[in-house]
Amino acid sequence: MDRYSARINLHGKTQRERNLNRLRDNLLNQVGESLSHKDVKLNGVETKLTINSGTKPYFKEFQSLPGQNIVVGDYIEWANRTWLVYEADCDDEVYIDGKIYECNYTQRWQNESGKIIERPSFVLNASAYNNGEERNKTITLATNQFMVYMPLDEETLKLENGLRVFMDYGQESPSTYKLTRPDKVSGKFGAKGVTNFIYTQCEHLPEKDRIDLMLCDYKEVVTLPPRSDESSDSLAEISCKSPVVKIGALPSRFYAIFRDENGNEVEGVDSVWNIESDFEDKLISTIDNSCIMISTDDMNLADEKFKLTLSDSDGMFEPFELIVLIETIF
Amino acid sequence: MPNSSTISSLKNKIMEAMVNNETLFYAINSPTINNFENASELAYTHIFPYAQNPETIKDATTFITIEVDILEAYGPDQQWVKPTLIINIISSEKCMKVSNIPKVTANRNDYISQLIDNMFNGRMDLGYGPLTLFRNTGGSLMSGYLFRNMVFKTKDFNDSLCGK
Repeated sequence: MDRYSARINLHGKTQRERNLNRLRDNLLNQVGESLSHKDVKLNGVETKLTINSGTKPYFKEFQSLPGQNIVVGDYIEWANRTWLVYEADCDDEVYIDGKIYECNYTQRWQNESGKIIERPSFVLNASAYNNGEERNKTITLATNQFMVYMPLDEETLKLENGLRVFMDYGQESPSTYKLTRPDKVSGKFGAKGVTNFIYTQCEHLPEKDRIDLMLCDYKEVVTLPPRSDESSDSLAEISCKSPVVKIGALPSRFYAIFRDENGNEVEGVDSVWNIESDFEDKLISTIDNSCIMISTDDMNLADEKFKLTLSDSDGMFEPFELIVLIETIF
Repeated sequence: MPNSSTISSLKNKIMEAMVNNETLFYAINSPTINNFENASELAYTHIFPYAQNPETIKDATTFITIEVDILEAYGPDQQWVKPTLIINIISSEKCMKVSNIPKVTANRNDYISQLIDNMFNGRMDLGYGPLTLFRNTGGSLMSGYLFRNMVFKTKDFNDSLCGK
């Protein structure tokens, strides 16, 4: 009797469980013979997936293998194209079925630290029934709109209103778009999700946009040269939010940091600050321990520069020089 | 310059003076015309002798429109008219900060209006009498675009005194 029970329960304790396991086994055994069974990469990992025709050539429906986990926002590489999982059923008892959209444009932007981020995206025109222009009696502006689907991830979740990007395959004078509807909620299902962003056409800013890099509001990433291994000098450094003093604004703060030959911060060093310019008498500076605060009210100093030098009273640390720009608040 | 000929002649003189002014050239700060030697290209791209920019704007830009109206005749036998010169300076809000010219602390529209005022206010060669600034007002044209509206007036004959 025990052997009989063991044999009966081999594929499941209940009839439902046995039916489920039989269905899974059949699918796994037979799926390789289906013409819809494709070799794909799921988030960069090689696997297999059943892909069926959808309502359009760039929409497909899929069925996963039993036990294969696919969620909304995953990328699938297949047929030399990248596809975005747009729908995925949370009922994964037998398999997961859902929909994938072919990515037709790679979004490109810089994050807050200047790192270039790229995401393949599915872009739909969101202004299909208007002429893409806003006009009054004097002026006509281009106002095309795109709806953009990308995975909701740590980078896309940071995107806010006002982000400007190029979205154009034309290289001569590519159009620029501004994120005007950063919807990060309506496409979130389960662990991941997709963006439902609207971008509205905006003006190209030649002084800020880099067509050659296809990056709007380009931020130059300044990297300090790596400290030479052979250098054993102790160094002074000036830390500040930005090397700028704004006329009429609150004082800009510059902080002294002293480091030993191993790069460790050294406490208790007496800072010596020096301002070098032809207009030192028009700058107001206050020193508070290791911080110097500099301000000015003289509008004539707009766009002038001065040199701020930090050293220590004992001459033990290599001095640090910083060029500071004076700007207006206007 | 009677019989409405002042409309075109005043526009032409204003446009010519604007195109040949190097300070104004850099104040407009065209994204496409960077060399003052090519300043004549500002005509019909950034300086228009009518009250409209006919192009669809894709680059953040500044442009000027020039219009002349003759509103009302006055004097004995309606002998005189007051041609009214209307100059609109229109800038994208992205261009309002004058970052391309050192020491300019005014915004772009205010700065250009100051240059235009210096160029034309009180000029005696643009009508029968001085060309006088009557109004210089600012505002928002549409979302993202700001304007400054300058109105000058001068004096002209209504009809030709010579026999026709």
